[in-house]
Parts: sequence; C-alpha cells; structure tokens
Amino acid sequence: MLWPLFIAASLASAGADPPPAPRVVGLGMGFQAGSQAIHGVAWVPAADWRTVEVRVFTGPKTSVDFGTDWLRLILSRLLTSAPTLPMSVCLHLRLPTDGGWALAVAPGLDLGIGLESVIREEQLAHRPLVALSPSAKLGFEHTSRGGHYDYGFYLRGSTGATFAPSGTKRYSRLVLEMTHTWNILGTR
Amino acid sequence: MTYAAPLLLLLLGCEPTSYGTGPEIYSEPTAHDDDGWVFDHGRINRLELFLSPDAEEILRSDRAFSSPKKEVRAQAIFDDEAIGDVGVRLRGRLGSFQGYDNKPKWQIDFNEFSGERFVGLEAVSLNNAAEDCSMVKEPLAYATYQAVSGISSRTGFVQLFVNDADYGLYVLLETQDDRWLDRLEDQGLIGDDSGNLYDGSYTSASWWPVWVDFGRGRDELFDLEEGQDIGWADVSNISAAIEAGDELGHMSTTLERAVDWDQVLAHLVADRWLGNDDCYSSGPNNYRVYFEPGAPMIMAPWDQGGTFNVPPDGSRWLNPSNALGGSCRADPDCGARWDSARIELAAQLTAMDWQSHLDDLVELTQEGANGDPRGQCSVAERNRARATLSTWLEVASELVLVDSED
Repeated sequence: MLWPLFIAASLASAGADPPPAPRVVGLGMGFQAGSQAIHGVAWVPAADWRTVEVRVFTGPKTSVDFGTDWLRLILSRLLTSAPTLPMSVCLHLRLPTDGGWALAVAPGLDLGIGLESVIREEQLAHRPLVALSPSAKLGFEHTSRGGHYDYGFYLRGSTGATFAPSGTKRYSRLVLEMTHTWNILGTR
Repeated sequence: MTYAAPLLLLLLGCEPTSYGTGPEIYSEPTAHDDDGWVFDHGRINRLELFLSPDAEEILRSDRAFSSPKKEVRAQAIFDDEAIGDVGVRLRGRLGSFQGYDNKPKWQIDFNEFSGERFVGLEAVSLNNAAEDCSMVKEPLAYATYQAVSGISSRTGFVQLFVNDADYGLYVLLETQDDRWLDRLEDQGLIGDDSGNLYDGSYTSASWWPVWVDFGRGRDELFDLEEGQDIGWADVSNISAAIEAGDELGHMSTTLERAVDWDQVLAHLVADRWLGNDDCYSSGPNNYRVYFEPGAPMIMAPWDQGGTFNVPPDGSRWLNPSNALGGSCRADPDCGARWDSARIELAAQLTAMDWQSHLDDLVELTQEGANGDPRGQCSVAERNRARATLSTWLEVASELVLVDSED
C-alpha cells in the first residue's frame, strides 16, 4: 500500500537542487467541491472551505499539512445536534517540473471530532463523535517567484466512517481542491 | 465589542427572544363520544404541556437537521382533561423547523409512555404554519385530497400552552399511523389495515436533500411507519415494474396492477390543483404510500405547507419529475386516464363550495392568527395571503385544465 508514497518521495528527492532559503511555515486556506457518498443513502454534492491550512515544511520538497474547516463546525452547530470540527493532516511531497509547477502527492488522514447530544436517563448528555478516513490527493501547484506564496489544484479522495452514539455511517468523498498558502516564515 | 455578543450568540445558536401572551381563543370543552370533535373546524382546542427543565433542555438541543428528533416526557391537558404523560418531540426540517423557544412544529404521542390513547388517538401533529401567513392552507389542502382521492388526514386547530407560555395557534393534524389506517378501514376506504405504511419524505445526507422515490435504487430510504419489515419487498416490486416499463416503452402489467391508478392519479391531480411545490409531484416529497395485503398501492399526502404556491397551469406539471407520474405519462393509455381524471376532478372541485369553507376557516382563526404572540406575519400579510387563497379557489379548476409552456 505504501509503494506510491515511496515512489513519490524518491522522485521528489531526485529533483532539482533545493532553494537557497527554505520555507518554514505556510498559512492559507482552500476550497473543495465534489461529491460525497453516504453509503446506503446516495451520492450527494460536497463542498468544504478549508478555513485554515498550516504547512510545516520539513524539507525543500516536503511538508506536513494541517487543515481545519471552521465553517463546517459553525454550520453543524447551527443545524445539527452534533457539532463537529473537520480536520486533516497529510504528508505533502512535491516533484518540481519545468515552468515553475510541481507535481504534488499527499497521503494523509481526515479526522473529525465532535459531540453528539443524546438522551440519557431523561437528561441531555453529550457523547463524543469521531470521523476517521484515510485520504490522498494528487495535483499540481505553483510557487511564486521569491517563494512568498503557493497555490495548487488537486484531486482529493477519502473514504472512512463517522462513529457516533446514533450509529456508524460510512462515507467516501471525491473532490477537487484549490489551496492558496502564504509562506509566513522564511522564503527562498 | 459592540458586535461581539450578537456574533457569539449567533455562533452558539442562541435566540434570546421573549414572547408575550395572545388572546384566549380556545373553545369551551365539548362532550364527545369519539375523536371527531378534535378535528371539528368549528372549534379551537386547547392543549397544555408541562415540561421539566431537563426536558426543555433536551428539546432546545434539536436543530433543523437533527435526526432523529429527541422525544421527551410531558404532562398534558387537552381541553381541561388531564391525560397524564405523553411523548413530545419537535418536527420539521428546512423551511418549517423552528426551535423550542420560537414556534416549533410538534409531534404529540399520547401513548408513548402511558400506553393509553386519547379519545382513541395515538398521536397528533401540530403544524406551525411557518410557511403560511393565511394559517388555513393546510386544512384546505387536506380537504382537497380527501375530496378527490379519499385518502387524507383530518385537520383542526389548537391553541398551545407550554409551561403556561402561550405558543399561539396551531394547525392540528391527524397523524398517519395504525389508528389512522383503522379509520380508513372502518370507512371502507381500504379493505385491510394490516399492510405496510411507508413515509416517502426526503432524507438528508450531509445536509443535502435526497429524494425518495421508486425505481431510483433508493427503496431502502422509504421509512416504514406501520406494518412489518419485509425488507422493502413491496416497494421494490413497484420499482422493478417501473424499470421494466422503461425497457418496454409502456407500462408493464405488473405496474398496472400494483398501483391503484385511479387513486394515485387523483392524488397527482390534487397536487397540481393545489399548486403544491413540495409534494410527490414536485420533489417528490411529503407523501406516504400504503400497501394493503392483496390490493394495489395507494398514496396519502403529508405536510402540506407548500400548497397554493405554483400556478396549476405552469409548464412544470407537463413533465413529471417523479417515477409514477413519469411511467404513467409515458404510457398512452395511462396518460389518457390521467387527462380524464383531471377533467373529471376539476369539475368535481368546482362544484364544491370552497369560498364558504374558506370564510368559515378565516372567521374561526382570525383572532388567534392576528393575535398569535409567536406569529411571524403581519395582519396585512395575512389578509393578502387569504385574498390570494380566495382567488385561487375560484380559478384553480379552470387553470388545472390548461397545459401552458410558460
């Protein structure tokens, strides 16, 4: 299962010389739009606003990315009895190509944590809810001249389940993702 | 700092609205032998609910997309008659859902905790008319389905008090359950009440509506309300027959026999006559289907807040977006039956005295609707809505015969 990751890492490490001043941290946001299957129900449209995305660069061509979606937290708080904060973490590998664009591959994990309100002995109780799904994205990204910002376009897939007191629901997602991050600490 | 508190309240979903008290509009208790008085359009019932602080907190936790809604215990008094513990939960989704502290829709399950029925009823539903300034659309809509297809719920009115707070005027709706089926059997509208009753209202996936209909691979989304779990075999039989008809190019014999087309086509004509934009003909949504053992399937309306919204002569009626309508329209014989039913039922509805029915409903509800402490329409908006209804009832039968391509 890990061979694509090894290939991508090897290709990334075999690329052009690293930039003279490495990036350290990127901060940005992104959008996702696509489709989501609630298993046993239907495929439905899916859209997310990656309200905060943080990239911690571990090398010239690698970073660990953390994403959150606070909009979905607010909506789930207002519209459901199970407010949930979606998060994601992935290992982001880049293979530079000609023209300033890089091929990117990022295996990772989507994680949602929340609380579901339930009745226990005729009283309101809150029980934890967890959503967990392995994910992977593949796409192209561009770093600005001077390395001040990056933007990228990716195809992103994930499949997993939500584990809640009301039951377990399996789901899969396939979305197009666009992100834009500003390199707030360190540029090349 | 000026905007911090309202923003925080918005994020937390708090709505610190306080309401006053409206006029006492309920009628005097009446002697009764059966449940007919509950749905009498000549009276407004009084329902009092008493909830513990814990129960109130539970109800406050429900939102539009909470599924299922949580049911709590309440003490109830109906027209001065203490009926003990009942089950209470909020109802509704986008459009009609309102929180516990506003004017929510309710489900009252009389026998949930005590096992005791109230005047034979297991449950009633209270609709807040959130999408209806006139407050009388739903009684007129259910009466229309009753008139043309025979399968409908009875309606009435109730002034609701919760922990002595006046929640105002509600439309009281006969819940479609096994007792409702029993009534239909007693009235000869069905032959056997032991079959399966399914709810076909839309479900939501990740907040996105998923329509429930035959022949879309979604048979398991039909929600079994009454009867026995047979793995949706009855629903799947119709879905398979629809798919077979699509391949044949005309309606299959199985589908012809599996559906009571006279009743279903009458239901579809009523959808159109009522300009219902939230029903089987439109979503499909807000409908129930009943499979009587050894008899064809029939259809019932549910939650009629979307009525009197779309003119009956609009082009949207020409190409049904639902499976049964599509199968019928694709079959020349069935299409002809549908057109005949439209002409026949339009004449039947024209002959009915809708204006006096509307006048009676307006007179009964005028004071309560205008003085509703939680009402969301002005008197002027209500008068306009009722004037629109009056015009609609005059011209609907004429318009329903027109196939215009707007």
